[in-house]
Amino acid sequence: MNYFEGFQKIKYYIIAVSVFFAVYVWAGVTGTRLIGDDNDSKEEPNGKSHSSGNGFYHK
Amino acid sequence: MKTPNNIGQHATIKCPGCGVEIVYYDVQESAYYACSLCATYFKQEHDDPAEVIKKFFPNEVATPSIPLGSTGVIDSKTFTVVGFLQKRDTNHEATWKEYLLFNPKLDNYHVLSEYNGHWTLLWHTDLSDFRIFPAGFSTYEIRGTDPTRTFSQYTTYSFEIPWAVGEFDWNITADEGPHMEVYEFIDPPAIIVTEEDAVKKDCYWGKFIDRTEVAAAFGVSMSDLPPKFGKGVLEIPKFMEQSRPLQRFTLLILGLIVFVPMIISMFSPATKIFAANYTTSKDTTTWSGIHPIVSEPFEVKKSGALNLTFQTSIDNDWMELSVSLVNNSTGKTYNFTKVFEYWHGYSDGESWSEGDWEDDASLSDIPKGVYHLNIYPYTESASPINLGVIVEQNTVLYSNLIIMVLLVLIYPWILHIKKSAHNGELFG
Repeated sequence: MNYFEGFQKIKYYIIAVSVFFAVYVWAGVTGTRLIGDDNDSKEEPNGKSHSSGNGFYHK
Repeated sequence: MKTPNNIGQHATIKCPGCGVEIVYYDVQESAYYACSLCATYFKQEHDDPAEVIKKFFPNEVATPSIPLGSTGVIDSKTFTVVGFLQKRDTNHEATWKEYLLFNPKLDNYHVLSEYNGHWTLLWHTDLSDFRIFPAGFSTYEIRGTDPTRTFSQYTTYSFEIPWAVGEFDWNITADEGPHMEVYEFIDPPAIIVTEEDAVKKDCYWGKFIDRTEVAAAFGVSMSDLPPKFGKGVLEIPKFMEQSRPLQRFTLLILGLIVFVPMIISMFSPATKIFAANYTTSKDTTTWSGIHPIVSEPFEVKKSGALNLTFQTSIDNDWMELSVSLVNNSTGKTYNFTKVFEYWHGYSDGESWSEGDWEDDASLSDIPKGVYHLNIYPYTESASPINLGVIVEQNTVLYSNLIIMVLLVLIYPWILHIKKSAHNGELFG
């Protein structure tokens, strides 16, 4: 039996999953976490950023 | 007396009830006849005189949707409709219609069965072709088919025949009554029907046939056929046609989902790029009362995800860490906060523990460059706390894998629920 037999019946599902899969591969290659990144920095329009921390001390 | 009229593939016989000439097609084998005009059911073989067996009740008249004598092609075989029966389940009052299809090249009739507008094509089969074995609750394995198939028992019944017209090569009324038990086993779109009594056992293969195919085969209009009512037992809903290809595709894509991180790890393996240990110290000049920790710089050699693991020595205590990852060149910061709590004790003869002294954080899409960490501990512990930090790059983001698996399984799960609901309706 052809493994791909009947795939025409689920073509829209295959298209949707292929899009998800492409995003998944891109996220894996670039090291992008799709949901749940711990980074809670927020960019402001003037280019500065702030966070929920209490200021920072740096070298 | 039978008088073949010599016009080819049919002959005529006179009804002993009303004298009308009945056309019949199976000239060699037919021996029982039902008159459509006076409802007389009689037997006549060869040149013997006609023997009236019974009369059907006029209030049970049923009109065939496909006229007797119609010819049509199904599965590349030409059939003539030679007989029509209305049957009734003796226990459940369900009625259905059967059309006997004759082809002189075949040993037995084919049967078109119609119930509530749903059609099934059945044909006699030799029991030696396969064996039926119990394979579970109401489930049977049919061995001898290729591949071995599993059927579910759908129903069992006895029947009566309130009306019939046409010709038959056996006494149809001998099958009526409780002595004849009929079993139906289904594996949509296929069906197996067995009819057995003390004397004989007959077996029929069957399959769903769409009403459009029936109409096209016999040249009748769709409006002449009974409308569909309810769900057909053998008709596979469109969504169930997707079931098997969906299973195969889902397995394929799940395999790829697992395979992708493995390939990525081969080319960009996870690497520890920084590790250090610190001890907290008091600092009354800061708002937290604890001196902030600034790490040595470390290099992120490749843009991607970082995983930062923190291990503390808290014991029945808690600590909050506010952390900034700072790019030494651009000053861009990536901030997060982690809270650690670890409590343990002994109560009612049992040890217990709650929380954890270690945790990790993932930062994604971090550009390559030189970074350091600013760590701001906050705790009410009077004692110094040890803090270990490990930074790893090219970390595998398992959360992406989980999200992808969940997305892929949404539609198969919906289909599974619909299939269960459909089977629940069929089998109760």
